[in-house]
Amino acid sequence: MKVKNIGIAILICTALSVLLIACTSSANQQSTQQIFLKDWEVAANLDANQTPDELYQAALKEDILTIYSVTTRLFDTKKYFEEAYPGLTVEIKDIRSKDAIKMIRNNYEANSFECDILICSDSAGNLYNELIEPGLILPYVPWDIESKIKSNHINSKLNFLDEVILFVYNSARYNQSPIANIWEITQEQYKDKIVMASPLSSFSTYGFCATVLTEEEKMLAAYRAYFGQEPVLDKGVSIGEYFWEQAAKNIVFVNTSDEVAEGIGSSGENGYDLGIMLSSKLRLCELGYHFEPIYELDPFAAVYTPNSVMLVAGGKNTNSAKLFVRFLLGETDGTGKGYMPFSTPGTWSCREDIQDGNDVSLEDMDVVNYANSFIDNNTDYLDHFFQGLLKENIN
Amino acid sequence: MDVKKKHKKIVFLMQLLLIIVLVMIFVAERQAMKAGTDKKVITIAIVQDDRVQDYTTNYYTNWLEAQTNCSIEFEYIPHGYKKEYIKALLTAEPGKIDVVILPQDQSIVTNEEFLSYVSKGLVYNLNSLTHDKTNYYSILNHPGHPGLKESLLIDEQLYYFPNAKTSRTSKNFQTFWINVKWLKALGLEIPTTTKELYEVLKAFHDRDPNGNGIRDELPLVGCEADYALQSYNFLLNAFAYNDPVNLRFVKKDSVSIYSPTTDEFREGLKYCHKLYSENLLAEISFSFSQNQILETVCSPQDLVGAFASQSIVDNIYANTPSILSCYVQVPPLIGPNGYQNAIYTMPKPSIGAFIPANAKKPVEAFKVLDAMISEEGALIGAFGEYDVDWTFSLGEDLSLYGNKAEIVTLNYLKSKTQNKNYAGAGVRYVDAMYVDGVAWNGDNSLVEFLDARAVKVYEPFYNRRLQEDIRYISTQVDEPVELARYTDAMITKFITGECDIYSKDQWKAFVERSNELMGG
Repeated sequence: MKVKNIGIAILICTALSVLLIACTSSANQQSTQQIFLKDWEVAANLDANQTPDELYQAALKEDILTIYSVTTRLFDTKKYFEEAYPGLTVEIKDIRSKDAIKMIRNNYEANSFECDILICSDSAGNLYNELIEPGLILPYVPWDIESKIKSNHINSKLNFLDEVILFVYNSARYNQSPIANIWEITQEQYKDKIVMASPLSSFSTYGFCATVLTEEEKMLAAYRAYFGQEPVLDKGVSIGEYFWEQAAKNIVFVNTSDEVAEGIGSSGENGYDLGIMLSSKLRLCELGYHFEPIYELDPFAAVYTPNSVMLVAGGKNTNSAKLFVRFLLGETDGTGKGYMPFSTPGTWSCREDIQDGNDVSLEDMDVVNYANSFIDNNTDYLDHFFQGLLKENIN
Repeated sequence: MDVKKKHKKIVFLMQLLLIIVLVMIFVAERQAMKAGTDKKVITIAIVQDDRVQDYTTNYYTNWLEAQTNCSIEFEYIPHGYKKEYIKALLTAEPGKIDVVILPQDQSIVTNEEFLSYVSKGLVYNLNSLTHDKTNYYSILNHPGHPGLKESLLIDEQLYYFPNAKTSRTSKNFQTFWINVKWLKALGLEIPTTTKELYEVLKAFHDRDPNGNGIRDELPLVGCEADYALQSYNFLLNAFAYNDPVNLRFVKKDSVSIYSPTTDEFREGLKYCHKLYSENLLAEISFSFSQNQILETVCSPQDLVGAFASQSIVDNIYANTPSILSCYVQVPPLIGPNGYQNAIYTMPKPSIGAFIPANAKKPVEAFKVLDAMISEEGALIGAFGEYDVDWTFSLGEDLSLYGNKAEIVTLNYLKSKTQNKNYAGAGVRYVDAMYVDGVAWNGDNSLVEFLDARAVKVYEPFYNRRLQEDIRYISTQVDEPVELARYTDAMITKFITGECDIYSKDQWKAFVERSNELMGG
């Protein structure tokens, strides 16, 4: 009996020890990582008044600068950067925000800090929850550029470029916008005539769709204005949900805004009638794509969607990263070549001393802010709603 | 005292238990060894691919062994002597190779060589093994795969397992890609007509779009290695129907016409000759290998303005996002008479694997290959391990082509070093539903994504019905191979000026000789 008890006691002790070791090891790892990130932030000295030359000399001792980016325009900035700072090399991973966030999170969990800079769309809920709040990415605002950045562009992020998601129309088919009210796209005549990126593929579109869900009063007023009556909504269905359920029946979903631009603007009159896409694609009109933006629409034509540039905590090439951010922002006086690839139609500058790329200002458009906090707090609901919408409407 | 006795008893019992356990382990191990020796060993000859970590411990190998109860061993085909090695293994006595697996995009055995091996009886005839319980039989006789069986038969017999391209991209004969960086630098638009293309190429030639102060630009390049790489085939499709894979026949008012001998085609050749004579269509297009063209397009000097290919990766390395981002597809051009055409093609499957006639275990070898062509085998071969590298879509994902996705990749294996499959080598027949149903992985430079975007632009210009007719007509010609060779050579001669496209006599001679070869 005694022997049996001793055996059981040994077994319990062993199991408890294993459990304790596992828990301690996990907690230790987390705590070690937090300490590492704090140490990195101190060593990175993000508030230091370093000159470009000081950063360059320090960067020459570092490795290849790795950037996860959502924009192909960064390849031009990379080229100018490598010309301006011989001996430095930049490697860009051109991926969508969703995957960039996932990769940085995975890198952190694997203790592998291979990315130095993240450039991504701001309109995704999990950017804050996954990366900013736990301190995995940080804004770096060069001391001599900070005063030139427009208000509201520096917070927990540095928004370096403003864009919107907006409606465009096929200008090979129409001389002017065929719609004046957002509810028109729910009409039968537009069945399979509207093209838009899937909100599950494109973060900017996700932000756009989520914002429509939150602008209930405006959507309701626009409904009344267009149909001249009250909407009949099923119990529990919001006006925004009803809008997307109706509109999705007419929409052809693609993966990216590039495909929206190709679908509407490269096939003449045979292209789609309407599209919803990132405004920076308006630059493709210079290559002969035929679409025009819709700036006026009841209740709104566009949703604001800024792009952020952030340092990734733990990155091994801090000086190169700081130098690149300076360069991307156009250096002290804004005349540097790094920002030029971004000064294109459909973009608005983050700096007071750099002209907007778009000739119509954001103030002159029917634009609303993206529903930042709503997205942050309702990611599960939004994911579920959009998944259902796509399941119903893609073939 | 009692306690002591009890302790002794317990110790004895434990010792006894230990002995019993040891004996059981010994017996089990012997049985396992015996079972192991029952497994037939299949030896596969394969070209080692840098992207595959270890063929022996590979997930696919383990899966095939489990499916077939065979043990698989590998012999690696030496890189410098691939053809010689294959020839030697087929004629060796006794044979030590049971299966030969060929790489996906690199033909180490040409069709002619394979036919020669078959005619000499060096390749095992698969007909007797391909019974109705096999996966291969099901695929060959599936109503959704019309023409597949016929395309694989040699004198009504089966001699190999295919490596088939089934995607929508593989059915788009050719895409024309243009350097958008150059267009932007010069303030030009993507050309839509042959006239506009001429102006764009002229500007590429004269106005230093790469900005280095040297006239080193190659406005348009092509390559003779493959019809799809011949950029003039794309240009000719703006003048007349030009499907080189199916002998370039066209049907007009129920009459079959040989397109190359038409006036429209001749106008197209004049246009191509003009581009060549003004150095807009680069001379290297007729002398460089595909690899040399690829190196030229990827040159850091940024030398090339435009090219044609089926996949963008035919001329640009897959791991160069900054170069890939410079090129965008040009929709089929509109010719001077308003003609605009894109070619839908049905790629003939290449040889994926075969069994040498001198194989010692052909039945087991067939089982291994048949497992590879099963749906599960094909999915592992294409995407890796289920639920680790890929999973089935729940219905809310879009594929690369914009339809409902079937497959979501969790760990995208292509272009990566991995230990999950043979990186595309060997038997492969993945249903189009899966190949075209892969969800985009978010990489803007993903080759499959860029190709899919191009395909969507080209598909509206296919004339599928016409092409079905032409495929039939091309089988009725007396000397199809000779006719194709002759026409291919004459097209090159007319474009490069070796023959004068403006000479009535030379054109007449070309038409007459073509008619002879057609049996007209």
